[in-house]
Amino acid sequence: MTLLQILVYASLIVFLTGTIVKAVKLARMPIHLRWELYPIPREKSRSLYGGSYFEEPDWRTRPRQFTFAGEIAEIIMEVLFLRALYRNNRILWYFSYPLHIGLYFSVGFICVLFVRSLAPIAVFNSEGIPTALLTKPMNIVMVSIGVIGFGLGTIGAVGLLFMRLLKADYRRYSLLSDYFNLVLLIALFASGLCAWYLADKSFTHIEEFTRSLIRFTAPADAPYLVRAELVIAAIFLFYLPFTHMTHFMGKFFNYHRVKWQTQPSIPGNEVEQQAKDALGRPLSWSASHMEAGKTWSAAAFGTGEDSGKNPE
Amino acid sequence: MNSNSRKITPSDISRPGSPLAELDSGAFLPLPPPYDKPDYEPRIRSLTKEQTANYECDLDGVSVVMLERPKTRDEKLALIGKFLSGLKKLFDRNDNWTFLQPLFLTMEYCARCQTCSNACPIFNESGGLEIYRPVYRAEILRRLYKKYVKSGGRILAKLSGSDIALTWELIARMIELSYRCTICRRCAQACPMGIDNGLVTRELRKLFSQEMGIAVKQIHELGSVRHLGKGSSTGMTPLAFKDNLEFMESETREQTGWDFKWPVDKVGADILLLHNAGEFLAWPENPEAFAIILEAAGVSYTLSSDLLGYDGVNYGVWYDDLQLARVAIKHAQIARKLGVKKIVIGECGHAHKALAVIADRILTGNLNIPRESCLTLLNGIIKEGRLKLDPARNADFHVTLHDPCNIVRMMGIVRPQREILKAVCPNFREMTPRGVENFCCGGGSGFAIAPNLNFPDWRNIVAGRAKLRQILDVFHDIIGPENNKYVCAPCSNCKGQMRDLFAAYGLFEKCNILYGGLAELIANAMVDLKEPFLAWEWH
Repeated sequence: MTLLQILVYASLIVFLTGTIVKAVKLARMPIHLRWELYPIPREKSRSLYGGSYFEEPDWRTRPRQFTFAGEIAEIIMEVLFLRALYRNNRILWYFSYPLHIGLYFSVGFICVLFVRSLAPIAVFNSEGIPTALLTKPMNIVMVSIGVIGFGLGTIGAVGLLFMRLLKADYRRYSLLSDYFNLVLLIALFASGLCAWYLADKSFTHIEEFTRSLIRFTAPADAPYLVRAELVIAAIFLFYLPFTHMTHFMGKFFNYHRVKWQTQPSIPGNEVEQQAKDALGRPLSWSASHMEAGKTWSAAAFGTGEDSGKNPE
Repeated sequence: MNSNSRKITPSDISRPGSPLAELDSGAFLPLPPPYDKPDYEPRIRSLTKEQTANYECDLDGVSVVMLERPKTRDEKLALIGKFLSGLKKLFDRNDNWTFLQPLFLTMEYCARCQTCSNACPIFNESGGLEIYRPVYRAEILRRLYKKYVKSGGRILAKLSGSDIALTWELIARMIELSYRCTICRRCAQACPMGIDNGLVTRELRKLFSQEMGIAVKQIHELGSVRHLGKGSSTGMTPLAFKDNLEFMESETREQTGWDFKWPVDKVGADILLLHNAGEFLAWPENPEAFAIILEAAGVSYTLSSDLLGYDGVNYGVWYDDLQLARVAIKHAQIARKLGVKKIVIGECGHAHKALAVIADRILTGNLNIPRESCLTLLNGIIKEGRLKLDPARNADFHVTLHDPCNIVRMMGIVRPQREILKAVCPNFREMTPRGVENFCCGGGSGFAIAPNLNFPDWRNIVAGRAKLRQILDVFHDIIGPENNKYVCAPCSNCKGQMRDLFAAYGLFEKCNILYGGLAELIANAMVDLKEPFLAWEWH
């Protein structure tokens, strides 16, 4: 096993572990008080104008008119087109959109590499040599996806870096880490683009390296630029889980657990049970009206009870 | 705007000395006619030397919290220590289970893309004063969180360039800054990530209240504390409520010619109607209109004279989770005692959000009673034809609708009030933007009840400016005093703001614009009433 392979394996492990740990941490946070924000796409036709089930008298006794299709459609529009940014901050969208599309294509490129590396079962002959019929179109697809991804990603990241540098209201709030993130993204995409153009026109070397990772075999020698590209990709994966660039995850929780979370507490349902449990948590706020040392329930009811349950 | 005010950065908040930013009325966005002329606008008064010497006002020369300046270094150090302990509690699973997840997400995932700035009426109307930028206060809290709460934060803060000096000046300014945002949450609505800078405002207020015991006096001491102690934040006791009720009851008897009594403490009624007690004192015509409508429609309901049962406000929603929970629990306990099927919340936006939405995960067990809006009840009554209405009775004036943020953007009640207005007001016209994209009245999150020092000037001229512009724009073709115009604001807090805003700008005198509730317009259209319910002199 080469040093480069170890680096890439380690980066993948750190990325996956870091991302999963973060997701689990977010998922395991206690239930919070409701803090929704309309419009909410789950609200069937009402979502068109921002309405909710609160518009109906006796809504608890009526069947709830929810649609997951609306929610999924909204997510698709948001993921594919960054619609909220398009509507509310068009200038930024012109750069953020290519960056994100570049990322999607780059992930797609990795998926194609992965599939091709597993492909011997399906499209490789017994010697492990790709069959000509399938190799050519797959090559075209893979190269196209890769080049488009690296190209758009570079354009977007460079544009965002310039916006941060040139616009005063961005610059005033930008941290060194914000610039570092963008420089790293530029390095990631641009190195991919350079490696392709100068040393790996059909992505053969990177494909062979991927195959070696999957098959646990020694990789063939790759050109310097390809190795540089792999090192940068590994650094990016090491770093990613510890930055706000994991906002794909944050956005999921922000939308599904906060903005769009309207599941009511109905006697006996799961939400009510979780709320009861949360009310049993102790508080230690020290202002005089806070009754530190009691549970939330006892302090709120003024009963001195410490059960976390509402007195019946 | 003062050019230095434009260059303010988050780290400047720590610096000692004079106000961080100066308010320059010349930089505020211009208003439409007739307020486009010089000297037609009121001015923000400066604090006196004595006030400046006594109270912390080094943010923008305005003070609402009226926080006395600490006199010694030890006092300052003790307050800094309390702030730090409160900061840590904001991110604790037990101390802040109530909002930990939304706050954590907001702290971790902001890209500082400034999309929220375009959505904030206060920032925009001030001419882009940096300290009012939604991300400004959020970024300061974020830097403090990363430095003092996250492990290894002090080193990482230096490495990432996010270091910030925690000084008393920072804390004093943040206390005031947490009352320069109405928590309208337009910023959160615009944010592609769902980052909520309105929540940051509320969490900061919580830290100050729950740990340091610092809050605007009218919101805490004369607000939720008085509410829980005396029964109403207005100071109205149950006995005083009954006196007021008798007066209002006799008025409605006169108006209708009916011999009827308002139902009070009626056990077994279907509905407990919970008004904001401010209505009884400032706008009694609103509960009177409700009493007439519900009587005519034959609705089984009751009011309560129990402690807290006649005041549906819940100021905790603006600044303190425990006070919020205490008030909500009392309301639910009263409903349970009366054995009603549901609570219906009167025309009060924050009471809607507090009881129907936020308290949903506080009122468990036998307190988990259905809670609904009066707007759906009123709309249902009209749709079912339970009232004899003649819209022509509302034809001699033009009506527009102000959407209270708490009812619309935070609850999704958009259509019922519009259906009512379309049914009873032939000359109804909509503002832009409206519905869930509305602008706050400028009095949200407790602003309307805080008359301290020069804060009302700031509230009217800066916070209420977007709403004032909307009102002038929607009536632009009939702006002269020869046309009667009515801004329907189905929220006590919004009406409180409009009362002050209209008075400050002389809106009634110059443009003949009146504000009022929704129920009044329904009552005015009722053919059962011989005389018009609305009196234009109410202003």
